[in-house]
Amino acid sequence: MTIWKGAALSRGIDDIAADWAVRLDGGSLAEDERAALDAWLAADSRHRGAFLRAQAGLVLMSEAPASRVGVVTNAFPPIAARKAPGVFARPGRMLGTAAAACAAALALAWAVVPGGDRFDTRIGEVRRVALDDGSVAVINTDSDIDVTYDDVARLIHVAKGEAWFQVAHNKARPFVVSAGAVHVRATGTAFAVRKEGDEVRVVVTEGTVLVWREGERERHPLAAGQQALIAGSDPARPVAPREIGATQPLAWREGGLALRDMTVRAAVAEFNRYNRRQIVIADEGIADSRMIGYFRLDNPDEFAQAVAQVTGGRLSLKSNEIVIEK
Amino acid sequence: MRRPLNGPARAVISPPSTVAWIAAEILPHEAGLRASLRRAGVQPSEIDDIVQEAYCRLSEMGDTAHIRSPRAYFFVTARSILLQRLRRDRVVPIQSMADEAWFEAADDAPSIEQAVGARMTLGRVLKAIAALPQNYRAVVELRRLEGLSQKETASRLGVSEKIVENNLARGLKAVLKAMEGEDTDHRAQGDDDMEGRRLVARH
Repeated sequence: MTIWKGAALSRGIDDIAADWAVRLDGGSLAEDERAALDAWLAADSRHRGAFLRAQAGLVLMSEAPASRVGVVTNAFPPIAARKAPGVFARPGRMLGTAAAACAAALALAWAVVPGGDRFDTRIGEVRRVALDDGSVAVINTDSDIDVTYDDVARLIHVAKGEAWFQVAHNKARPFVVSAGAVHVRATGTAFAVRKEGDEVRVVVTEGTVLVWREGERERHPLAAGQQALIAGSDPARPVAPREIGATQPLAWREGGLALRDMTVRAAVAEFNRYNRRQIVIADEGIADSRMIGYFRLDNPDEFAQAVAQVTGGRLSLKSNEIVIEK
Repeated sequence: MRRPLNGPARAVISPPSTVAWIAAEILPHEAGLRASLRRAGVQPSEIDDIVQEAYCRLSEMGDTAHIRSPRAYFFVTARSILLQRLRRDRVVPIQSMADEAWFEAADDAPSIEQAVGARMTLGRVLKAIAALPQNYRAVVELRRLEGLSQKETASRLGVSEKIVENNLARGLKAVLKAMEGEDTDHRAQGDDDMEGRRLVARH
């Protein structure tokens, strides 16, 4: 096997190294091919350096997270017209493979939606959006979401807030939701992603999703009925799935909040996400007490009254504030 | 600078931990190193050689835990390779090879560099991927977004593994070019473009 020698004249060492790195990564090097790689590496220290560099490049390329990449128009001629195989292709097989590549290109040429669509909701607004691929997004209060669909991927960016997605099945175009450094991939699944500062909460209602942090190779599966709170900036904290149980974290889609052993403090924080009229708790004892119940998110007064009743607190109503005190 | 391997013919392929370390700690600084070498007046073809040789030295290093500043280590390694070549070739046309200037470049406010470096690298990688023709990009994206192996990608797309391999290699070459940095953009356009321009010039 001496193909690389001739090729080295016209192509750079870096390109040959890239071909080898990908071939080794493919995991199916025959014994004589492996010997050819070894010979190439042994021949020149620059080969060894370029090979390590190419392997590192493959890691970078494989671990780059989903994120908004602009839609690109195809600036190249159709592949069937190009002789683009690597050094190792055998000429006799080229026609067949080129045709197959062309078919793959066609299969992937989906309706291209240029640019991203941005959806934002005001405080208290919950918005249902039908996406172009048949998926549905229900966007929660005070949120900001970007949708970028193109030929090979459906990328959603949750810049702020929360949304629930019912994903239309399409194996060829991965559906990936990113919030900060956390990424969630699904096909034919329903799930919600909520960004809370640096943390991201993922709740799965149907099917399975894969969750990972930026730069992480490992994908953590989450199944229907599970949720996880992922710290974007703290890779040491494991992605730990928990059962949703009876907590109904998605009651907001019907305008409700289900309290199940939630502290008053946490419930108030929820209400304050949805209303300009803010609830303030002036007593730590009341804030720490726990409640069970189902409330309308758009009626903070009703909730505040219930809290006062249960905890023996007192309400003082101001123009844009409800204060609960002892 | 050809340095054939002595001893047995089977070259040692770096363990995944070393490759990951190079990806995270060294590759992001390659553009900066190339820029410094250019400023020092080193010829482009020489720069390629020096960079490859530097990676080779890193591959021979074994444990990397003791390296506190990978960027500085990378720069110093490249500098010693350059000096060795100068002695060999008995040429002295190099400007700004003074220790001070060089170590400043290597240092380049490491804290900022480290904080911004990963982001910038990521941006360059994503840009390179986005610029690929769509069928090449599809293969890269399946790997990136779904973590599929080459075999799995091939069966998902219904194409041969050879196609996947070729497309992935094309993507990798684009990413590696991008890691060389801004100033090499004109070189990174590919043979097709060069050919096109030559044709235009002839008419």
